[in-house]
Amino acid sequence: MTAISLPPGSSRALDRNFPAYIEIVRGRLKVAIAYRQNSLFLLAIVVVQIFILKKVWTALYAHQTSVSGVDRHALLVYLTIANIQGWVLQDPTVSRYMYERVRQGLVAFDLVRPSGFIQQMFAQLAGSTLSSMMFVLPALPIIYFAGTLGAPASWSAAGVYVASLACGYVITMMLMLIIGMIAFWTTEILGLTMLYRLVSQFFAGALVPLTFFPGALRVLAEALPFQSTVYVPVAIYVGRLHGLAMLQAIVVQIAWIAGLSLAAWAMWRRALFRVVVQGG
Amino acid sequence: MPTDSLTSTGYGRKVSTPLWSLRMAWELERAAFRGQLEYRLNFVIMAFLGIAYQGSGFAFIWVVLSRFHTLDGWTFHDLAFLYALRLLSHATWVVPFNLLSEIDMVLREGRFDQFLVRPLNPLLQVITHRFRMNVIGDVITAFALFVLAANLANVSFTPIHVIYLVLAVVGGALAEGAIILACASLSFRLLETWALRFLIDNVYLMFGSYPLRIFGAGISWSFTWLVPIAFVAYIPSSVLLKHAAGLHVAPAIAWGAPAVGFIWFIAAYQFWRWQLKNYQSSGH
Repeated sequence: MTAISLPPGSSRALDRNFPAYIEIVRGRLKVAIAYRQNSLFLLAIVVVQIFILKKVWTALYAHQTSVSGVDRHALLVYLTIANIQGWVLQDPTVSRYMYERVRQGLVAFDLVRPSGFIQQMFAQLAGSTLSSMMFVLPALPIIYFAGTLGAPASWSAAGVYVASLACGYVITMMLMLIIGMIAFWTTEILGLTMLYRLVSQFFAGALVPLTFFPGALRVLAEALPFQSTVYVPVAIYVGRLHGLAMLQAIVVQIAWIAGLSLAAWAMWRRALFRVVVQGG
Repeated sequence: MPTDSLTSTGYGRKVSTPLWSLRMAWELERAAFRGQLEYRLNFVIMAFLGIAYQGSGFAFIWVVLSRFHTLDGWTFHDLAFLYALRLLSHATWVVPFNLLSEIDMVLREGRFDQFLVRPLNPLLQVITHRFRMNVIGDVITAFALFVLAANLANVSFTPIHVIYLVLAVVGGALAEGAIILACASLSFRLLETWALRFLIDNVYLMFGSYPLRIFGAGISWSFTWLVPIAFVAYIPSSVLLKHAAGLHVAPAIAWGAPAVGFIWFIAAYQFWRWQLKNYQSSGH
């Protein structure tokens, strides 16, 4: 158990284990290529969803170009980018991978490895994000016709979008880590991961931008971390969020990173004592 | 032993009748269901998940229509009815046939061997060997939404409409099931088709829950005649909600919608039987 007591995130451990993380990422890419057929079908669902959203929203707007101050073109760009981004960043297979390691007792081997368990999981997440990107980039021409792609509102919007996207990615990672860690207590999280995907997709604003949420639902959506993963960065991209409101949203993102990291760290401290290796 | 002596006991003939097969399948399904009921917590979680999954699509329609009021002339009540009718057809399909989703595993693990040596149609055995509890969530959501939507929407419930509705739900279930069954049949050759079936499931859910014509003429035509999505709920609910004037098919075809599902399913079953010949045991 000495391996785990290495201070998490200590720079020396990171340097030494760096080749190991690269291998994990490469392993993920290989899995994605080996099962490319499945990855393509899953990507097709996202493309179909983008197409449906475009058609439904176009029909909803009827012949108006703007509703409640939301420009139709900007909305369609928002929906397209939000769904691509959601697919690239939110690969549920990592929570599932964690759950399977815990359930089959294989987590024991992960724990005695020289690199920390959490770091291994981050490498897994990074690998799955890269492999999703590998599929999305060649699909962009199809997505262009299925949905609506457009340039960011301005150069500064593009810059802030990248920063906000990075924050959103960290929040997504933390949430997935927390969901995955629940497996240490329950050893069963399949239902939970599915529920998480539904709830997070809806409250992240991937189907309806938060602007159109009715009163109480909007208050709830703004109190949850999910809006910081998709709505905030993409709303900045299309220029819906700007000025003071944009800065405020980024401060909220940073606060969520701090809060969720703390929660994940506290959970991890306790999770180690919960490890039950079945039949190990 | 000559087959004559088997049939002379009366046993052989009994085995071969479709009615006996159905009774047997019903008994197996009941046993599988009772087996799953033993895991009570899992039952509750899976049912809840089914409700959340099917309800989330409805939440989208509700949130959007609370702001925009109509979608191509369809009000929230109309859309709720369309959504509920599709879900009802979907539930009618998945309750008996949900286990088709495990066909990949059944084939790869060689479990299909035992289905071939038992005196019951292998397809019936595949779908009754276990029961997946999340479909109960689909059923609960389907009925709850349907009762709600039928009260909200302006639907005429004359006897002829009720008969049409019942036939349309069964026909819709078969129209969805035919494509899933055909795809599952490909597993005999490809061994893995779950992602493709997941895609089909989503295409039915996403295109089937809206008035099809908003997607344009090409897609309306394709999802009527190439893939029978329009016949699941869009055409029947247009008839029942008196939106039939806006349909892309003639009234006679709209009223004949339930038959389309039956025809597709018969064709899909023939395809299954044809693909069955490609089964290669993984070795036992």
